[in-house]
Amino acid sequence: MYTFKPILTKIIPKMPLKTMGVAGLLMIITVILMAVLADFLTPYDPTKSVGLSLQPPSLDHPFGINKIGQDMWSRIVYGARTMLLVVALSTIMSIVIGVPLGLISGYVGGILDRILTMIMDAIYAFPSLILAIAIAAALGPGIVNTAVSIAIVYVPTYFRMVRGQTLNVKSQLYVEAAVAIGARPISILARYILPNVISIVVAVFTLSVADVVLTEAGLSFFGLSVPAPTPDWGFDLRAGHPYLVSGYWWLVTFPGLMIIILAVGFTFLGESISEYLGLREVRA
Amino acid sequence: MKPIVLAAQLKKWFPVQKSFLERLFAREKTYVRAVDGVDLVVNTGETLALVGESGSGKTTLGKLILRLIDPTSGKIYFNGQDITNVTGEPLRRLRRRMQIIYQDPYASLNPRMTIGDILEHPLKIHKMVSTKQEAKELVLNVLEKAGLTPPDDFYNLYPRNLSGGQRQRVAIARAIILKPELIVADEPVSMIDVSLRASILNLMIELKKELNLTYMFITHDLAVAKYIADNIAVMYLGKIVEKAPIMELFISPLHPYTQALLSAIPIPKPLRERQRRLNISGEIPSPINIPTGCRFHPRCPFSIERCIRDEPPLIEVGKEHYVACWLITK
Amino acid sequence: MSDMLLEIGNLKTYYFAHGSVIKAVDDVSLGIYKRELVGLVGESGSGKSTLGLSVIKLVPPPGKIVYGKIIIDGEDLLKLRDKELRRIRGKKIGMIFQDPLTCLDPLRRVGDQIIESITSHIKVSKETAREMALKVFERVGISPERIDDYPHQLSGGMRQRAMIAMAVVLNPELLIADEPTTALDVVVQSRIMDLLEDLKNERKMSILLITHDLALVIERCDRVVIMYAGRVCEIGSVKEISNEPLHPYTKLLIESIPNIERSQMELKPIPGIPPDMRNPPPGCRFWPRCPHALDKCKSVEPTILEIDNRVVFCHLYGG
Repeated sequence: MYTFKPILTKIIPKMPLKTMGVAGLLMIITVILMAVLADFLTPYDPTKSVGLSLQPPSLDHPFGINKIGQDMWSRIVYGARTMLLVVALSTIMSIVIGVPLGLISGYVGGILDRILTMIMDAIYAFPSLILAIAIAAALGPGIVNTAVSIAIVYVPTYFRMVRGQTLNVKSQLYVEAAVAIGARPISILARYILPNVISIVVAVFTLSVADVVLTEAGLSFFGLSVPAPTPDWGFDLRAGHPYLVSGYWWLVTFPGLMIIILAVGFTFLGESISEYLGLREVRA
Repeated sequence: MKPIVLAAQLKKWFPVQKSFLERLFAREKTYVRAVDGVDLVVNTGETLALVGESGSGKTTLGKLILRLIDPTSGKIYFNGQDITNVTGEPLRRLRRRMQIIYQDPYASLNPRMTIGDILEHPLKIHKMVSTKQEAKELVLNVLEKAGLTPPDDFYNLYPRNLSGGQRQRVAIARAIILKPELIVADEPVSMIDVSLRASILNLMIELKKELNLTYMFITHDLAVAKYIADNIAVMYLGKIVEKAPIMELFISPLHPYTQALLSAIPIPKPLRERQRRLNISGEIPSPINIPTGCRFHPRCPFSIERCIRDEPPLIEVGKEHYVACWLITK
Repeated sequence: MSDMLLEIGNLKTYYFAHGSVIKAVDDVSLGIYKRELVGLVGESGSGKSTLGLSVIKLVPPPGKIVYGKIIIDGEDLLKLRDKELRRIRGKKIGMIFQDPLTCLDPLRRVGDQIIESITSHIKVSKETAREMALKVFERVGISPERIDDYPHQLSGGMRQRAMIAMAVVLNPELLIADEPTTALDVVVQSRIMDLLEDLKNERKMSILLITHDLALVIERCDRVVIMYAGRVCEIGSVKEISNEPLHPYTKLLIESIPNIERSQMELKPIPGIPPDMRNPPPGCRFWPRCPHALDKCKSVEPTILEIDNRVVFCHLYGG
């Protein structure tokens, strides 16, 4: 999924970091606002038919109407909820599983570390979308299931980075100093190692969340995410693309654009934050 | 004088990391013999300087005595108690009585804790205080002792707000807050600006008197050792080659390595006005491949046949003056 | 015919970062004569390393030379273009650092690196360059068969020698040595210093030794330059400086270093700490720590005073 960034950095090589970060933040906030204020932004129910099928954008329906009569604008703003919910849930799950495992594995080492690393490396070896598809197909549709599928795919990313940083911090002098004053391992993990590892978690998050967005879109494009009437950008992409050839551009353009805006927004924000924190090496 | 630390035939060998192929074809394991049979007595109340070049094993020896590293073989006694194999909770409780000051003031303090937190943590671990107020008072007191005044100003700062010299004072404060009996100082002024070293050294001397401490002062700088130590032990490739009271060592160094070391120290006096120095060839061999017999023999200008065959033992040749050299101890 | 090899005039090198300016070298003038070993002494923040890098225009960004002139053989280095500077670097001026791995590429054999350095400056065949490399290796005390080793295969002292070899192979007139022995053992340090002295005498080369070790400088050098917080405090011969230091900082510095030949007197630390270079004190930068500070010192920068062939920047001596 990292074909995005090289293209971006070629197009906008000289964009100063602050601008990039602010631009990214604005994009994300826009989407969040859409999701939160959806009820106020549109009078229509996105799951019901509210007009004639396949109508181009008009004053009443600024994003047009799709094949089964649903208002596209509504589907976009409510779709934002779906997208953000899945992204948030899966990220939380990845962190809750990946971070503690990485910490313990890195600190304790030994056989536990070797086994965990092997498992995580195996999961990591799969291309993210394909693995997500496999798991989602097995789990079935639904927001929670989708979130779980994606979460599993990204656990190794958090695990590796946290484990790497833990190994790094573990060898620092102040950790040995903590041993020298008689601190217990739990205390050392909590007060000396974890606080110095947190920044990497933030970095991993900011850089991989764009990928999560694209994975969700990919899953729903293949119909493996949320079930039918629930508004979802990827789903709309799939539903609308057969009609593109006939000139019904609004079915695909708006969902596609939203996916790009959200992914690019997270990428911009992520790049500028990780540059600010001085972390050049982090790659999801 | 009672010994506070006694080390008997102490060894620390680190296994060398080898690649898979190397392990396949190697006949035996190779080790870095960092400390290779050290007998040492440190008396209560003294400042013992442990001097040597990098690779001599002095830092490893210091950490072995503090049980920050496990010995490969040999024994360590602290105040008469055998601490060679102590682990877990008893080891943690023991730590109260022996502390360390590290060389690098930039790396030895947790960047995420305030100075107050850093200094209170040891108190909490060893349950030396029962209220937050008590803890803060002790911390302010020790900050003052370490020369960081007014102590209130430093309590809430982070290490990154302090200069190198100030950080080292925090490290010293941390070492004394538990009122230990022994402090191992590992090159405490090597990374401090030259003009500030004297004040840190003077502080350590003062604290020693005030708190009845014993110091093991590890350094490669003989001039610093001369300033602060009562006794000095010279290490080479994992063994002590000479040990003597400080003035005795400078007036009559017996081991050729000690003599070379002393003559190599820069003295602020133009060289032409000084006598020629004793130059030894080569460099310290790797502690993986220790020479046979006396480990200094390949570089020693005076080596005789016996030096290649047999390792000389550390023998007392004068009042408290020990040396390991066949030229001296037939 | 002038004996002056390198003349630095009113050099100012500043670092521009995060909205503040660090005046690392702030109006420094000094001269290095032919065939002399000059010690440039200062602590952290004194600007000594920046000065060394400025001479060969290798100050890393965000640093920039903002003013001054550096004249060698009649040419002002600061007015030359990059192409001409590259000709000078290596051929007229060589530089060695504390960490040999700053100039030795860990991924290439040391011999190849020296050969490339040679051929990029003078038109000789590769064979000739290899001959030269072998010769200089022998001269610095590395056995010639090590020429095809990688840097990590050499010990610390040998890497230092390899770096020296690379710096002197083309017989530069000036060698800038930035803390070349700080990371080395005292015995190895002594031998590297012997080597440098011998090279200076054989090749009629001058050496600028940048270090914080005043004792080392007094022992080995001909002249000493003392720097503090980006400025020069005093310049003189080692005999003058060690017997009769003029600047209060020099005096305090000498008294604060442990000296094994002196009897056990108490070391007198210099009170205070070096200034924050983003906001140095006005006037003489040393005044907050100076036991003899006058009112004048707090606001007026001392100007250069020449006293018997020596140079000092201090109001106590007039001016």
